[in-house]
Amino acid sequence: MYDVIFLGESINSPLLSSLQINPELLVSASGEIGDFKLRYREEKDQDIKEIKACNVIVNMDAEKEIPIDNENILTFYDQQDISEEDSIIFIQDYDKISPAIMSKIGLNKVIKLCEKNPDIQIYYFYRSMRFMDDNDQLFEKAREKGIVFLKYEKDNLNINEDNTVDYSREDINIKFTDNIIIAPDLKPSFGLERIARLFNIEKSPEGYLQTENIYLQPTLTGKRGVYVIGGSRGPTGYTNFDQDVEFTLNEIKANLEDIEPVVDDERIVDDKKCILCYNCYRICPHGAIEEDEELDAMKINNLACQGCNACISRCPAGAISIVGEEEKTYQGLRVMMCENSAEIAFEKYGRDKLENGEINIETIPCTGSIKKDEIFRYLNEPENKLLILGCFEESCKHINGDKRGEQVVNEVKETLKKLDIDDNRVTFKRLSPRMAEDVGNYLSRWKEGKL
Amino acid sequence: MIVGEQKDIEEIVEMLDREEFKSLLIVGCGTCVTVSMAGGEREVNSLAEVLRLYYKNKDKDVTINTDTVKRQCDFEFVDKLEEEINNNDIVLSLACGVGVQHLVERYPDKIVLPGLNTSFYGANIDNGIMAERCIGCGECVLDKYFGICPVARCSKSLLNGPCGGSQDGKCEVDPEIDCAWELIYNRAKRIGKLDELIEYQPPKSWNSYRDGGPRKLTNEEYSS
Amino acid sequence: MAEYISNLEKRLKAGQFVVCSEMGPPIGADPNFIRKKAEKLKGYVDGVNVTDNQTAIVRMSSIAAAKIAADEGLEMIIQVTARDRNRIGIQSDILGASSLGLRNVLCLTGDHQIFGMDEEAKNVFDMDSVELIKTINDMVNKGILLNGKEMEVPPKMFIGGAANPFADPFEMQMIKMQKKVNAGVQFFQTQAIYNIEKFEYWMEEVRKLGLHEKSYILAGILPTRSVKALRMMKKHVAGMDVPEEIIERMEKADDRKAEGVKMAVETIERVKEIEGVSGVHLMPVAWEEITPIVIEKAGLYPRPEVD
Repeated sequence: MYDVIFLGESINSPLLSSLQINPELLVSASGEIGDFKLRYREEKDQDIKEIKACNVIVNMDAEKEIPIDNENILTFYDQQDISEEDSIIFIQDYDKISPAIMSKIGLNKVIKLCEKNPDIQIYYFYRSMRFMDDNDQLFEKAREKGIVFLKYEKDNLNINEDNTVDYSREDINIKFTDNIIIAPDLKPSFGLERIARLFNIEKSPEGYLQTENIYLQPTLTGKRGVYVIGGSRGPTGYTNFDQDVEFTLNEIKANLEDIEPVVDDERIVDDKKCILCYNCYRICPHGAIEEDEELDAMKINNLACQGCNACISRCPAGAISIVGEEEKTYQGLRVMMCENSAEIAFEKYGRDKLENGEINIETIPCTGSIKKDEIFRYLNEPENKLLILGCFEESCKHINGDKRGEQVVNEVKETLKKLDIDDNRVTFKRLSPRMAEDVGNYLSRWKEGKL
Repeated sequence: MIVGEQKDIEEIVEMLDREEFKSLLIVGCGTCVTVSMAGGEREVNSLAEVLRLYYKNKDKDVTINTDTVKRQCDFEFVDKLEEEINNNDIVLSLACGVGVQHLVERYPDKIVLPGLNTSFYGANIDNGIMAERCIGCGECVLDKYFGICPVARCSKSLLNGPCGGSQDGKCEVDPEIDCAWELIYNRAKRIGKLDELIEYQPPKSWNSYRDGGPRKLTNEEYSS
Repeated sequence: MAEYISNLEKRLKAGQFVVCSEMGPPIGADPNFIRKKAEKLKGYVDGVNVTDNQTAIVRMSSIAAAKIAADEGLEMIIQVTARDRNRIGIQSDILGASSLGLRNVLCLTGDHQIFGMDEEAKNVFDMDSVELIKTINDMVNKGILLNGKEMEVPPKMFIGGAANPFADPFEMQMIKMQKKVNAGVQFFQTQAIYNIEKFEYWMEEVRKLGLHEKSYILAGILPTRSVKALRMMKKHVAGMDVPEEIIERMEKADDRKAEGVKMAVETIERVKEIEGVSGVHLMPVAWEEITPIVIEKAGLYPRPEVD
């Protein structure tokens, strides 16, 4: 059992037992935090090996893509010695605005060149100088050394096929014929696709293993025990790399000591009802579900499960249930509040501000867990009204439960409208944990039917 | 698998409104239509609740019952429903067209209504997205086209090459559909078999398809 | 056996640069509609296509319309698409057309019915254009139907197909063109040409494969007078290449009609010079009356004699 597996580059972690695996040679990944099972090959034609690990760190450098059609141009990353040149042009932000790390690399590089050869003339073109860390000090230092910084817009700088650069502003029009060093665009490493698929983790829209979700900062993925750092997270992954590594290693050390389940009640799959349609596997934001080969049904890994009930809401065969769940019945005005946002706001607002029994408050783990048939059943009583309060986008603890919840409510409303039934009896609204005042407002307006 | 989509609620209600009944049984199917999220147990429950709400709103006294069997295309499963079907006035089946008809064969005196529009044989190409891949022509030529079927996936079922109508690799009929011939060309190129496409393909034998009449297959080994 | 099946073939064999054009039948049953159109074209063209429910819109049948026009003295080219009839219907139509004296046929796949007004119709596509060509070729040259039955009096048809120099993937289109030649096609009419450079490049590839020696290639010309039409073709018609310069040129023109004629004439003059091009096929959309004028201005009137 390894403490941690590195997919991609390894990191110096002296007290941890680790192994580095090339993601292209990873065959399969299963299990959960504390008990991952990875099958892989060391070399392409070798036999498959099987190992177990407690944690996984994904650390694959971003791909560098030159933003123009010229393979011979040097980038900020090239190690070639160019200090003997007379003059050099550095260009960043040529296609997309370069991430902060790129400015850092560029500034360090030009300073080093100047130190090696004080006579060198360097022009540095930028659209947006990104300051992080000590970039501003580097910027000042570079200017002191005589590097000329020129700001440009997309349409007044052009790199020509013959490797000359045209720069025009209202007052000037210059052609530069010096050596060009360009900041490459960063793209997701090719291995990330495979890792996402094998581990059943969601990718960001750009293809990195991270989303802009506040719960996944700084290096978490939806799946407990799988961490993602550096270029695997995206260009911003380089910005605070050292702090991110420290955070991750601390997490891992804590995991090695003890891993508690996040949920109080286990979710289980009835293997007689399960038809292996894989809908739960696909929807689980935490990669907690996988196929149990022996039972020929899906199974839920209890340590990975975070109890959002997305699987329960999606299972077409009704095969998943919560152990020891009690059926609660409600009547009248009912509010389903997400425990991560609305409930917290509601506590701040003050439970006692509501008169006894006026409104039924129900706490749910995520609005992504609501079920269409339950809503329809509730609305069967003409006196029943339902208000569902969830989180804002990118703030859902379970990645996109808020979107799913909203979609279910919209579908219910559509159906009601088609049948000429008042669709205002069900409402969906978003809240943050801090909106205590708004909670009170929503509830009172909703009671009066004015939401 | 067989892909189907639940009929619009208005259409279902319209069908039901044409019948006289006090009790309705909604029957689901646990195989293809469950996977395609159209007619499984959950959808059955969902529809039952919607209809209860509808009839309540109309002040109509109707009892709605539900059940789901593993498949509706085998008599053994259909037989399990005997008691319930007898106890209900009419049946709404959420199986594919095959299941609906199989129910009627067993219960010829019962009105059985279809709750789905059965559409095609398809693959799950992404979460919740299914696409047509095969029309069941009865004479598979996937070897000649390197695994991409022009009969099912070309809007005109062309066997000798593309028409001139594709734009950016999409079919002229629907920009959501890939031009099958562009796919075949790319695949042939990829595996180095482009020169095989010069071979003339004669007109297809459609009698292995429904054009030869509704089909029946007897598996000798199992039919005795 | 006669050396040629139709007058069109005769002219092409004699090395003439032929001029063909097109007529669309009416949405109705009036034969005079055809007679009037035929009247305007007499003497200007060596062959006239009659479309077959083009863009899946119900019109008078191609064969009927062609016969009416043929009776007025025009050399007619019937069009057959695979969309509306199965192999039985198509072979039957060929026998009927030949018996009525029609001698030229253009074999097409046909636009999908979604483009017409009968979206809900069932389409046929029992055969594709290549199979159409082969089937008719076997009927004419082997005297047999597709099912192998021998005919006492086989039909006589000069067989044509469509070619598109501008569709993608280019390589696949060349393969299909080659297949048509292998199946027995004798002449091609191309998609309308606006990008002459691209057409010249395509002809180069055609010549490399020797297809210009195995079939006669007629360049498609679409005289137009409307910027809107050009933009529509550029954006919405698949397999058409309309360069921006052409649209700009039409926009800047004071007299768009005159400019349209000028552009068509220029295109004709340029394609005439390309090795392997045996003629032009004029297909003005909603502007059929301009055909004689274009032909005149291109110096192609009067038509040479053919004995």
